[in-house]
Amino acid sequence: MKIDSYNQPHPNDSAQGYPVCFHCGELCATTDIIVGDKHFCCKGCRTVYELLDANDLCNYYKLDRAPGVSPQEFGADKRFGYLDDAEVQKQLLDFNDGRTAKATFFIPEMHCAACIWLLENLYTLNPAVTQSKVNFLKKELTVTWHITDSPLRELVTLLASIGYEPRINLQDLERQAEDTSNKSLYYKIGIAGFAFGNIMLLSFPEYLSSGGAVDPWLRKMFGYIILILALPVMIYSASEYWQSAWKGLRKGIVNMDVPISLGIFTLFIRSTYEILTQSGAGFFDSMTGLVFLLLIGKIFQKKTYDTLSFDRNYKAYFPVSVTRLTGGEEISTPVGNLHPKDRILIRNHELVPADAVLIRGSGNIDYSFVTGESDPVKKEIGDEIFAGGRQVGGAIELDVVREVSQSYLTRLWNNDTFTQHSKNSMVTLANQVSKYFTAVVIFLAFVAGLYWLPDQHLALKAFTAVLIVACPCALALSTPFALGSALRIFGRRKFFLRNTEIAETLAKIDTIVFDKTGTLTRPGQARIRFTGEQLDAHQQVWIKSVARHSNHPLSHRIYQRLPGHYLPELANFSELSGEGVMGEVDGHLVKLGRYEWVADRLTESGVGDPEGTLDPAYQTAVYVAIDGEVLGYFTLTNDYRPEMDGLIKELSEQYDLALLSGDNDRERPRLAKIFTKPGQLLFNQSPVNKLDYIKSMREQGRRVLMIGDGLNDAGALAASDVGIALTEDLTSFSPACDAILDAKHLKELPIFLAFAGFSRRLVIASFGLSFLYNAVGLSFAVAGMLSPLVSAILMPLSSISVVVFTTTVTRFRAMQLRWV
Amino acid sequence: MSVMVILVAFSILVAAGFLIAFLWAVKSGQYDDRHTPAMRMLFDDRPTVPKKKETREQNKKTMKSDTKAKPEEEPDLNRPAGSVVTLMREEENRYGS
Repeated sequence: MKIDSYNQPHPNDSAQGYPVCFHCGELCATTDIIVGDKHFCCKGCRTVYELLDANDLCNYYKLDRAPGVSPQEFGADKRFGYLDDAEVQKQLLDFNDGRTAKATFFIPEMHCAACIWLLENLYTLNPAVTQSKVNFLKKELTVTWHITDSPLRELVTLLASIGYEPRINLQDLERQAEDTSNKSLYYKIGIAGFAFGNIMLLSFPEYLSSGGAVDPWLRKMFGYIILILALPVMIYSASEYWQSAWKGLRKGIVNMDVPISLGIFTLFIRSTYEILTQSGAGFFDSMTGLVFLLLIGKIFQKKTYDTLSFDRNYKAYFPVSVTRLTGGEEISTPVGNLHPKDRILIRNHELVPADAVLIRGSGNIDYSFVTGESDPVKKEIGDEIFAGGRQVGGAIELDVVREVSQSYLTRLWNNDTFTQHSKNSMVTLANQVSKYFTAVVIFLAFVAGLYWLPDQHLALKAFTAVLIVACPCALALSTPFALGSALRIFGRRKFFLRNTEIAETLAKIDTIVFDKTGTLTRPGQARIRFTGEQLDAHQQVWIKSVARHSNHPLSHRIYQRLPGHYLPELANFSELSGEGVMGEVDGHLVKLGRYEWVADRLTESGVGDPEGTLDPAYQTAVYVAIDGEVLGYFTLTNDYRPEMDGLIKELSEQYDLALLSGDNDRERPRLAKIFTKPGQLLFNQSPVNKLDYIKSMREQGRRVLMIGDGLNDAGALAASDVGIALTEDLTSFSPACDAILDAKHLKELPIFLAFAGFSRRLVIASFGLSFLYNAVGLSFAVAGMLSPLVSAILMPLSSISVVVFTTTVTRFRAMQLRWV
Repeated sequence: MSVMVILVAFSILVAAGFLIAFLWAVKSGQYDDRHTPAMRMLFDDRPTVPKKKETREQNKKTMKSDTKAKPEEEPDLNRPAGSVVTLMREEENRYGS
């Protein structure tokens, strides 16, 4: 739930024995702030505790030790200043009439039932709140409150202080109206189902008797009721099919909805005619049942994952505002209003929104959003910092060099790849088939009509019957159900596809392109290795103790990886920027840092490398000296995922592989062992280079699968046929893509691809099945013998058997793989 | 046969009533979130209207002094945090993300 540093004592407090804040878990600098037997680090924490205590909400503390966040920690006073801006408020609030306001916040920290409980009891903490409601899967909190009594900033500050800071970013400001398409699909299904059931019931007399036995008056009445019930289905429930067919035809494409619309339309005309002229019972039961089943297929296909978003661009990660310094004053400015030469202030854990040059402070930039590599990069004054980096450490001042939209990273989104929807042009199997299918059906209808021609009545009957029975309901259902169940099976293996078309495209992939950092390597898992004399347990603890007090990323790594829990007292700690850290532990002087500094250039112990011969990979070496003796050095190397070699080898048998890396080529020798074909390894690739590479591959007629993880891969992911974003933590981050894959399941990629191929073959097989039914139906139709009863049995039967066939076979296959 | 007309009209009316109920349920957002309400219903009673500070402190003192005398009063504070929450954490592991 929380960032590590909250759980551990603050590194700056070397003194032990001070109490820990009951609210936020920080070490208390004073023992003055007490309520009962509970200590607090600051008045802010005490206030929050008192608020919770006064309202009987102290169960909060039982659920998680010290779950809160100190109001000082996040700089509440300045950090949310931008929320007072009228323009920002207007965009963030769902509703505001000057008195009551409503807003929806995304709160990623929400993780258990207790969170829901506390958040829904928000009204006890802030009386201005009239209602707060949690959507747990979406991790959203909707609050209605009196904005006159409590401004937006106050509300957000309260949320942040109890540990639920809402994530407010640029994309929120451009949020579009709620998507209502899903709701209208429910309406359509409801109406179609209602009509289907009732029409079936009212048609019963017709099924049971072959005409004569039913009272003609009753028959007439039932017919009219059926007609009235069928009208909303025809006009409303099936409207999507009319629209889609019409759109397709206007573009000259015969999609699957064309024969469906043709069938439904013929059904409607002929049934209406039969009922009005009393010449027959009509086929409205078949028609409504068909629409109902088709809509069910549509909803099955639309498997959505509430917690995942496939449409994030950089705006979802960029803050709404940034602190700008003008004449010594701190002003909260919307990010879009930043201009070159503006001076901005970036505090701990804030994102740099535009390319800028470091002016003051020591930069320690975490580019994990951009590259997937979580090791912070040290920046000196005068260095350029690219947009998207996150400062870890003290506050820094920067001069903006380029506007947000023109920055190195964000410029990527100006590329046309992001505005074109080239992927949609991929022809789905169903649409390919429907072209020929429609032609054959129309041809057969005419043949049947012409055969009976002397008898005009019979000819018309046969003509319409062919169109009706050939309505490809089963055909239209095979894709949604086969691929929809594949989607669900993938979901169980933490492989989330945006939609069923992606599953189909996945089966046709012939080239796979990997990103290196964060994809083939594990982010934040760089291996640390010690070269030199064997360190004993005491020495390790000493080193760990010194490393703990430094904020340098390399020290942090060493601290994390070395064993030992009880660290001895440290004295005379000092840190020299660019050199290293030193301190005395148990009477021993421990130095960590650059070789020249650690060794004082005096001691020669033989383990150090003479200058210049260092492999570039070892430039990150941290030397260790205890009591003036250099013992060796730590190196941090990229740690490849253990499954990588096997995975690449397995995939290379079937697919063309390539690797795009934003890094330099120091890892080439290691990678060349597994990427054996020439031209597969490309280094020093900028985000735009990656995009162009994928584009050129596609222009060569290849179907490209791209796997990446950072925002720098966003262009390549968008340009590829299928872009898979790999993520370590599903709740956190993934750029816009077609599919999201949990990194733990990366090794299953070949199986996923094989499964997609299997699903595609299954679709083809179920096409065969539905053609079989069509052939049976057509033989009735051509003979002019299609009665409403035959149609009412045949149509649902074919549809349902296709549904059962596809879902069972998919499930069976998944069981074979032990996935279910 | 006119009885049939009444019956048919009535049956369709009843069915239409259910259809309207369904459409209303969708419209009022009952299908938007099918997970949270299931967790919400397991919470114990809502916290009462905020009491005055003094009375609460007093309550606390009395409770501390005779916890053994009145054991049934104490669990009130702790209960929601106990079994229900563990149960829900398991739920969350199954459904969450």
